Amino acid sequence: MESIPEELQGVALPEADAARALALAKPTNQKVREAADARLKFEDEPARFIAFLNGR
Amino acid sequence: MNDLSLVEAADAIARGEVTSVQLTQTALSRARELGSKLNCIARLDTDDALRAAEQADRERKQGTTRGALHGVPLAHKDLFYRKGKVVACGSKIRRDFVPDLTASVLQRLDAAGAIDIGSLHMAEFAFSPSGYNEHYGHCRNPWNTAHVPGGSSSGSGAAVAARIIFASLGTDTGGSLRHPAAMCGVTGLKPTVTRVSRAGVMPLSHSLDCVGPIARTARDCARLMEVIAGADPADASASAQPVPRYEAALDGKARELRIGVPRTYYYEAVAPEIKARLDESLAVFRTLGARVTEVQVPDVDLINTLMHVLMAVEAAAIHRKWLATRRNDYADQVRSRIEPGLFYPGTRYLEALSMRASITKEFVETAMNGVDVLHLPAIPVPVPTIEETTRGAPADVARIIGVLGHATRGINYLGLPSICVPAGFDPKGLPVGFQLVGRPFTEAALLRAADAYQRVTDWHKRKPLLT
Repeated sequence: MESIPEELQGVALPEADAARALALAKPTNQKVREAADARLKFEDEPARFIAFLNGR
Repeated sequence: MNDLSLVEAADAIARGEVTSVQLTQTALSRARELGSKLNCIARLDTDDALRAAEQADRERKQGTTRGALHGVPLAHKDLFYRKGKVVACGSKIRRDFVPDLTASVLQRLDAAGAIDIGSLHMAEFAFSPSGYNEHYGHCRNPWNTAHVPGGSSSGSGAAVAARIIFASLGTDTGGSLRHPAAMCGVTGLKPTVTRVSRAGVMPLSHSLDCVGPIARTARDCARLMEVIAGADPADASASAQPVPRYEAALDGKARELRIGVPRTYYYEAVAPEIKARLDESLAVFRTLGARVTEVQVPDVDLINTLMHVLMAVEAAAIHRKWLATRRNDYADQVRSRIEPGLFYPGTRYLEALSMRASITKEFVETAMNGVDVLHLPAIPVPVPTIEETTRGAPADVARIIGVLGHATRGINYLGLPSICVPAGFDPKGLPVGFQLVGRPFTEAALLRAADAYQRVTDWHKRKPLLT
């Protein structure tokens, strides 16, 4: 489980809310990590998106 | 008078056939008459609007015209900041928020001569594809008030369809311009991300948010886009790409248009009564000389997942303090969509951002290979009732809410422009729309195609019977 410790967020969620949010986040975290492992290159970074939009 | 399109209204004012005061009084009167029935008005600025309209008429008599929207009454989603006015963003938390600045897009509309009559209802903090709002009540669909108007720019869709105002600005993070446009039977343009300034607009997600118009016609949207698009010193992210003359590009032609139809993913969830209207719209384009071909799309489920991570994390960052201090002032349905953003590590968030260029490039090179635009459903199912989106088992409600964004939310991750166009009605008389999605900064091509379609169809001219 890749959850961020509560004290780092500074948001004390009730247990039920945290459990629900974690349940939603867990498979998504897994899917993003797998996609990143398969696709992401070192040179990929967010600014490349704007460059692509602008045809560069 | 209220049946005129925005462009017709502006032209009628310019020719002296009607005054701004007449149009503004009509808009205010319809807002009072229909506003409560549809629950689509957040705030009316009657005195300010009439003063501005009188000034616009004086200027026209003196031979002065401020711009392309001189004297035309408009109203916008209640998240565009207007200095000195309450901008609640559909929320309890910002119920009394009075900004000390005016959104750049509102300043541009003012400079072009538009009359701002007030602000329009919306989903809480722009968080619902149905238009759900627990604090101020649900906005209603003008075609059948038991049904949702679509959200989150719910008041914009309802007020334009109900002929209260000629057009409205809204925002789109996962479909919030296209949902109400489709469900209310009007035209909505989500521009390329960064095409329009977001300075002075309450954010939901900095990476995904787009400002755009909802109006009755593609031509109306073109006129508004020429006013609002372009670089803005107040928004470093706003693109410096030149703004085309969108309206001048509308020549009624679709002969050279190449339309791609991705049968996988986008059409998989489409109900038969919706598919019939979508197929009819493609037949119209064929009669105009467009070429329609089937295309393949990459993994849209992954695109949707990455979109969700960006939206949830950025929204959680924006709302973190309020989640801690004013938790109970959010509707459960809204808070539960933000909270997962607290549980994605920074590495996942940055990966989602970093994959955006290569995935968008892959999407454009694959799905748009050899075509100019993609033709997609806007909403794959008939417009649901308010009850279907608020009552019943949570899983059923979550399912129908999720289906509404099936064909829209991934487009925001890709940052691509998309126009939603009315295409008829389902058997219950609720509107059906299609989307045309283009390459980055091809709004002119989308508007041209939508305008060509609207020259030979009259779905955008149909109006709801409101008594």
